Amino acid sequence: MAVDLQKLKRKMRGVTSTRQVTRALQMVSAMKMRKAQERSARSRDYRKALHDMMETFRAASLELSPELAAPHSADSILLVIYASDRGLCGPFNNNVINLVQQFVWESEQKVDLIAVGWKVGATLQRRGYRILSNHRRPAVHDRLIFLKNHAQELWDLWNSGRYSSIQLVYSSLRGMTVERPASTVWLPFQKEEEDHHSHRVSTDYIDERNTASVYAATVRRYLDNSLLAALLESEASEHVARMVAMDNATRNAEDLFDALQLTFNKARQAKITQEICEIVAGANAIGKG
Amino acid sequence: MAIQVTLNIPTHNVADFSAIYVQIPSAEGSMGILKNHAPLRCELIPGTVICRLPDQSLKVFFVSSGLAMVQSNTVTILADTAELADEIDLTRAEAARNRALGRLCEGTMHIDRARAEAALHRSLARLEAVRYLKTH
Repeated sequence: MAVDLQKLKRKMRGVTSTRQVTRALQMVSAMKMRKAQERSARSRDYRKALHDMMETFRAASLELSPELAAPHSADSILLVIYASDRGLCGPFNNNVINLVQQFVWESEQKVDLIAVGWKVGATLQRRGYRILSNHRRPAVHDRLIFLKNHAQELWDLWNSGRYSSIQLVYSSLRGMTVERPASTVWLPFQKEEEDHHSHRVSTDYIDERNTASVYAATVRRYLDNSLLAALLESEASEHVARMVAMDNATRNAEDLFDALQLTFNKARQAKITQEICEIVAGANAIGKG
Repeated sequence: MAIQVTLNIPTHNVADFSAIYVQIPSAEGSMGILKNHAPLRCELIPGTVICRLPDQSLKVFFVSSGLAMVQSNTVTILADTAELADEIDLTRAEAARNRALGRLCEGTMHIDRARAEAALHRSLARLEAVRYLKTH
């Protein structure tokens, strides 16, 4: 009986430390999530202004430079996956992995993968998928340099003519809910349909040097910026997912602790009762004798 | 009536203010914008954005490449990076220029020449922004 009590006590101590760790992780994730959301919000000014500028080109029927269209001899698709470096974020990474697996399964073309998020890259590699490169998530101050290199890597691969499309896979956030990951086409660039029935009077812009070159520069920046957007969204989602997972783990630990506490108390009382019985029985035996 | 100037970089909005004159480093050369300018779109190369405010003071920025759009008395600048000239550390800027020069002067086998030239261009533009502020 005594052994049971000691074991229970040890278990309770273990559960308490686990609970402390999960609670700490939950609070850290909450703070990181707030910062990530702030960053996402602040980046919206640029993105909106860039989008507005893209819109001004809509009225004109502009030819996209041929390098943005799908190459003729392409036989593969490139998936760029944004996920997390570490686990403990619930189904976050698994959802991404499942989507990728399904995509590869259903795709008629070969699929190559690039991962930004060590854990997912490593898992997919273990399962035998072809990973071209597995990057760790950039730290906040390294982000712009990382994105410059990352964009260059993707453009180089696109210009190699191997891929018919490059698609981005990441989980986004709607309010405080992490949405299931989805794939969006990055290249070939999909121009929005020309708005022939628009009531907006089309403005006549002076374009330095010429319309085509400014349009090309705008499209290029629009595409590069969508990589930043994917990274920021994925990051915010990761922190929300971890916060929720750690919150659940904390509550489970508390429930487990309560259950153990109950068992412990019952065992302790049973032990006391048994000792009293033994004493009384002994006393009676002596009394009778 | 003033011109509304907005300077954005991918991570956040750098500045939003009124000016009476704006000069931007377009790919075709430095361009001055006064009120009621015709609608304009252009690419920017690394250089200086100079704005004269209604109170006659100057606001000077270094911007690396980007885009600019002018319409209805608003100038929207989308730069890859931007710094207020006041906040540029002259020593660091000169060190950056020397580094870029060094990289270009050493063997061209091992470096990407275009990148080195771009880095030099940027560092010179940054220094120009600081010097402009000091002399005006």
